[in-house]
Amino acid sequence: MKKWIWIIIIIIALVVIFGFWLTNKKQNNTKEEIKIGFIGPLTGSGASWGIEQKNTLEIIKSEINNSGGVNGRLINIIYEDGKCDGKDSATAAQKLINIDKTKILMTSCSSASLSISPIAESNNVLLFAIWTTNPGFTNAGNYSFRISYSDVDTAKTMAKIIGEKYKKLGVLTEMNDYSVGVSNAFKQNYNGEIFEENFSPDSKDFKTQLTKILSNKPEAILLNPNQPGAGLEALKELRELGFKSQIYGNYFGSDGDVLKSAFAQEMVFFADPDITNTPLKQSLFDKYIAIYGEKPDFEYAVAATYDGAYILKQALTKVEYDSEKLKNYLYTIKDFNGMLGTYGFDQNGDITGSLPSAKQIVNGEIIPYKQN
Amino acid sequence: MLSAYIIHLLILIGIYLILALSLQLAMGYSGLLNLGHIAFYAIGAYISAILAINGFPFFGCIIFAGIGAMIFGFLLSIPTNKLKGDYLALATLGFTFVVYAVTLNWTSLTRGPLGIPGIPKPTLLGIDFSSNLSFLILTAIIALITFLVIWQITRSPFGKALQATRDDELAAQVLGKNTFKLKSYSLAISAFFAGVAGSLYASYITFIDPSSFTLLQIIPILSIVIIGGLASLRGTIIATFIIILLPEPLRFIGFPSSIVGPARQIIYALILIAILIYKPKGFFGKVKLE
Repeated sequence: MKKWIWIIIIIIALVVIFGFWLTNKKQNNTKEEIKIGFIGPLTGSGASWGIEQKNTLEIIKSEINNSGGVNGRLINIIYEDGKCDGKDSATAAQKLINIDKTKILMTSCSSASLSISPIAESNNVLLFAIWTTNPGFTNAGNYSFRISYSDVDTAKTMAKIIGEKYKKLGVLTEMNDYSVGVSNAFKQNYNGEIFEENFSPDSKDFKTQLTKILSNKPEAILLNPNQPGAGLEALKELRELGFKSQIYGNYFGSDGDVLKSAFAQEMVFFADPDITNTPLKQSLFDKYIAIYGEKPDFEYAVAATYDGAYILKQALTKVEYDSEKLKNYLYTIKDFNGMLGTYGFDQNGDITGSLPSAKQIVNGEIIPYKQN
Repeated sequence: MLSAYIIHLLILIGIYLILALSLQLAMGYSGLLNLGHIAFYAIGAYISAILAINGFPFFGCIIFAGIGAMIFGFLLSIPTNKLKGDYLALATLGFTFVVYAVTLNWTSLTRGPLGIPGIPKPTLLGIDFSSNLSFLILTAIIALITFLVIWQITRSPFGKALQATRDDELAAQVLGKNTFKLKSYSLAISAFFAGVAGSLYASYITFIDPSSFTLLQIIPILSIVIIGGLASLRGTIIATFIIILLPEPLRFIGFPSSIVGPARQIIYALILIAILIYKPKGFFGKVKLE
């Protein structure tokens, strides 16, 4: 009995000592560095974009540090794996804030950002969410900003464009936070009749749902999946079931396989905001290919990460490494010129001026969509 | 005084301790290979979150979370009572998927995949537990109560009867024990504490969504029970500390950024495998599940 009590006490003591040691050590030796914490999905299914974001940050870090840093101070980015999981992300945030004493956190998934924001808020740490589209993040707190449109923006664009033409719409939605967020906001903004069916994230066949939707004779159909593969399958089945009219889709239309598919031609989709082919984008992508050997798949995530880091750099140049001053400065930014266009932040820390756009697939190419 | 990071880890340890101890009651002491434990955790978290959002006091939330999970635990025990070993594991596994599907699809109640953000931090008897240190004290008290209750149960005649059922159900029946009832009660009590842990989790992290309660989440809890050793409460406690704290020092090794994510997980897994090679029954394991 006594033995194991001692074991527990020793373990606790070791952890406490270890914690203090780290706290003190880190405080002393790195006063000059500006520390930024990044919490993203580095393993698991989200890793496909998390790693691209990390790679982008590495490129930016060397760009900034090679040109002398920010006001002479080098930046140091500390990566933690949040796995898009609330608990793991919160642990990582506690570690970055309390041990590394970072005053800036960057996050990726909505679930991570939402569970970190109360921690950031109570520690007065700046939270910079890169790709967080959950509408709930708008009210997350004073220190929370996002370099991303909200699902509400996507839905508003959809509702406007589809609503002008069709008043009876079938909607197929995946049960996942992105798609449901879009669907909820769409229903609030769309002026017409909606027949909606859902499918769970692991479904591979949608004939039941589509048949049910088609039995209501909708004038057009909106496909709202979260994975391009599901969207492509739904497109195929929809045409096989004999649906001839207009099909709309969410972002999945920009996927390479979807573009090539015969079933997807003439589809109108609502994409991430335009990332125009500027020299800035070209040079970043060239660098990325040179270092990592391939083109990034998630252009939006990479571009938003790039912009986010440079907004931070601009803020750090203007005011010092102090989250309170940084926060106040960020609210005053109204016309940052970055890869996503020219934009700023509103009073909720959401971005203004970078909105999703409508595109059409014609002959395997994406062209801007014009309503006729 | 303590670093907030350590406090955070200790809170997680507290929550996992409650979960692991309650699973130990069902698995180690009653021989029920229950993979549906995470579902009770989810039920507790959701009940607590929904009540708290609607202005319920924390005391009500945590009690209802426990009772709600307990009712489901009892209900689950009825159809699965005749099942044993692998078959019971599969049936309870199914229960996890059912609860996951409900939290995902009943959007009017659970907000579906969007999750429930902004769950209020608890206040109890006029004391505000919104700071992490006070929350740690609250968690520690509840974990201690859980430990004492389960410890007492395992020493009581009821606990002895449970262990008899685990070792030889037929013999227990011959001696006049109603094993059906015993197993149901055991599962219900186990579910109660899982629900309480869920309630603590929801009010601590303040955001829950269905992906917080997928089947994968059972793995750390199951690892705790197995590494600690079946039917050993002290083993469970030690294993909880090990499983939760083990990945943490790995953060400080300073891997190059290209492998930082996977390297931590690989080392973590290797250490766990090593423990089981040298201690196949776990640290203090007394029995083997059939």
